[in-house]
Amino acid sequence: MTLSSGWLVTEEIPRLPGGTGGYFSCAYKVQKGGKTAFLKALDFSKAGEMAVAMGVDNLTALQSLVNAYQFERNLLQDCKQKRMDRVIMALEDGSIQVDPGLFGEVFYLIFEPADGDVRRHLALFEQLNVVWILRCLHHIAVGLNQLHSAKVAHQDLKPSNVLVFEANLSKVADLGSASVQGTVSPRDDYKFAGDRTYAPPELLYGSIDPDWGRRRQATDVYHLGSMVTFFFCGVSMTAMILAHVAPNHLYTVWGGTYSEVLAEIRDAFGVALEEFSNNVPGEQLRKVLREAVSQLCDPDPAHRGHPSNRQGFANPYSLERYVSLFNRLTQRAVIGILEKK
Amino acid sequence: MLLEQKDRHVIPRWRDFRTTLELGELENARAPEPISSDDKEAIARRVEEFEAYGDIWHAADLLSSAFVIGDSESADLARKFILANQKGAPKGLLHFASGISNGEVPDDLSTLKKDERQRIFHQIRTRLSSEPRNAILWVELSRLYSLQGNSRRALRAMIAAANLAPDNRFVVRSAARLFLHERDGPTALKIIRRAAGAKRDPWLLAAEIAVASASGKATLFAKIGANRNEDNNISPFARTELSSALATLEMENGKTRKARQLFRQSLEGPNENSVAQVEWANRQIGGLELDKSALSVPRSFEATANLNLIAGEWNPAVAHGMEWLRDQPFSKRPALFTSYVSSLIEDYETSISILRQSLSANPDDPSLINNLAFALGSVDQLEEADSLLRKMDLTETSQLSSITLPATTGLLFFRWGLPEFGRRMYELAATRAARQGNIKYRTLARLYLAREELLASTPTAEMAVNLALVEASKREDEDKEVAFVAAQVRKLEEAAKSDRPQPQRPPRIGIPSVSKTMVG
Repeated sequence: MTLSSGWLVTEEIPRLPGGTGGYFSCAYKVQKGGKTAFLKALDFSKAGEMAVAMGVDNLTALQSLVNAYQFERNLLQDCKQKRMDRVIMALEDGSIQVDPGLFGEVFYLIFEPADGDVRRHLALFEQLNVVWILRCLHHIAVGLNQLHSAKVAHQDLKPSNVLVFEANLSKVADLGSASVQGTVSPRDDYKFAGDRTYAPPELLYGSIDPDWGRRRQATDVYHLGSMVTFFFCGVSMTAMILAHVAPNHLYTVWGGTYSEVLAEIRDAFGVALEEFSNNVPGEQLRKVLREAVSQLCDPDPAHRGHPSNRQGFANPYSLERYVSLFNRLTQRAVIGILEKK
Repeated sequence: MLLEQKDRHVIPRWRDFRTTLELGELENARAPEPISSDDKEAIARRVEEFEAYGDIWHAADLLSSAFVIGDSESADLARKFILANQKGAPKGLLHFASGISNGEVPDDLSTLKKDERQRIFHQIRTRLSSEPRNAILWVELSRLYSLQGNSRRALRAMIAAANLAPDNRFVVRSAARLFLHERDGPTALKIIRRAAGAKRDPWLLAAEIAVASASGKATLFAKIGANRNEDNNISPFARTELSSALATLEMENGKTRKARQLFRQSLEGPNENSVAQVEWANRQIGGLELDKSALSVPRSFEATANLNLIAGEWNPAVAHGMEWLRDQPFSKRPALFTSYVSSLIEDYETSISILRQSLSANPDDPSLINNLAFALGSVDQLEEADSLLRKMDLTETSQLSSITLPATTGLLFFRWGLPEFGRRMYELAATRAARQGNIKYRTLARLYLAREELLASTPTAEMAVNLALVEASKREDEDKEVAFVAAQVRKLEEAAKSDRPQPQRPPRIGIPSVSKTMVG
């Protein structure tokens, strides 16, 4: 099948990780003029199936799909206009009639082609490639910072949503769970918009802060810290914390509020932080990253982020200091200033 | 020698965090929710990706996700793969997959020796330097300072904890316990009342009622507590201290029938504190005998030790008293109890050791000082005993110590070789006991006077023995302690009659300073 813009749909990619509409979106590989790209299609014919899954009527499901598609498309256009070079770019959007009738029209987004996500790249290294990891973290921080500058919170940063382009370029992908400050985003009503398996502890324990920054941007800040632990330990920060919480105090059975359990989460966080730092090579890097992760993943969103950001009128969740930090660390690692052991 | 048993309240116990956690006193459970369809989808996606790529990093991603959601089947799938393909896997991932934690499990501080405690001290302070917002560590540090008797630092650490985690049950109850220990009931109540869950959490409601009662303040939450106590959604264990605190309140108001009913309710899911409270209440109002199952509650040392004492089982009473002391090392009650029983059976070395340690956590406590002076005097360490008694207010006449302090001073006079003064002190103790209606202590004062008269081989010894034993005979059947001391006196009397050589103490020169005060 060839799209009106000349892209040739070559093969279906089984299920797109995350993404708008979850199971109701499909991914394809497309080619044009020797370039390969990814196409994310939204199949309205599956609105009925989605309605059953969501427990709503067909019209509501259809409306949700349309809203989600329009939201992501507009957001991607906005990112493109603002030249966010560390956020995945949509090359094109449009629709194609695959079957007769209104529901036969499939809406799509075509994304720049990636080599895969960070997990695939990490698997290529025989041992921890500190330079590559630090550069990737720098790019992720830049990507999130670019989104935050446009008052967008990603809310679903995880290993599968960091795509690697060529060898040394990483970008943040999948804006399907994002929230834009001051507008109604499709997933704003969700207790947690992104993948709950990577959620920060306050959201797992059902603490819903009405403040947009503390709820949305603070989640991105936490996720950035969690990416650091994933790179160095292979474990998300949430998993590391929960491993040290008493079984009867886990969010799945906790009957109290988050503020009542926060001291215990913080104690578990302290142990997790120690475990994390034991896995970072080199005294200097260990010290710096431990401090960064302790700020980025603080279990209390009100204390998350760089302490200097909480002075004056600065945005407490600004990532600029971490952009500089990861950039600086990358440069030092490249020229071999950071000791390895 | 003194053993205070007048009042008891279900004041929150203050143990280390891990022990409190293990005892289930920090639980706030609800029915677990099944894994949501969204979460199942997310895991299914991770499993698909893992199966498609089959590498360590996809397995790592699956393991983290499945672990967080509680999908043990998927977690095991990833775990097995990681452990079978360790090449290239980060060390932390291998630890996580094998369930080995790098984090150290804190030791039970109460069971540690001094140098080990110093090690823990250092560990906690090191951790706090990098985790200054960790309220649990501040509480643990406060507990260590409290054990050292450094109340200023203990309070400072606890204030930091209470400000960092004002809603956490462990922090709030520990803080309330410490401030009450430091005789600052208003601050203890303030900390409890400002907690977010103060009006709904049965553990905090119980603490408010008990602390208010213990510090002579009016409780604000008794009515709310009574309503919560009838809420069947709360487990019997979660409300055991609440029922017990309400029962104590009813008892204080003279409503013994209602009190017994609430005490029985507290035994539906007891903890050791509520069991000890029932054991104490039974001695006051009766009708609340404990069965064996109640005593099998973990750490039920206090109730068991008290029952041992009543039954005259001295060695088990000391053993359980020791356990109670290890469980509550900064509390004076177990120290007082165990030293009392140890002195009763004339194991003065044990008594001295316990009291010295407890005095470091409870400096200047008159009951502890009195008991230590008694034990020291009994083994002829008169200088130290005298210097201890010098700190005491011997003119105070209302408390139990107003009986025991002159008695202990009397003992010292006898041991100094001044039986005339000693006798007068014991008589003063007996008179004060009679004035307070405390027949038991009057009898004990007479018995100990008789003991000292016999040991000093005074001419009035026989008369003192007869008087003491006649009085003791009226109480021996119901009071094993009196019976035991009476038996000791009888044994001494028999030894004196058989003309065996008695320990002779040369009269000492000069009257000790305390004694001068009393005589004067």
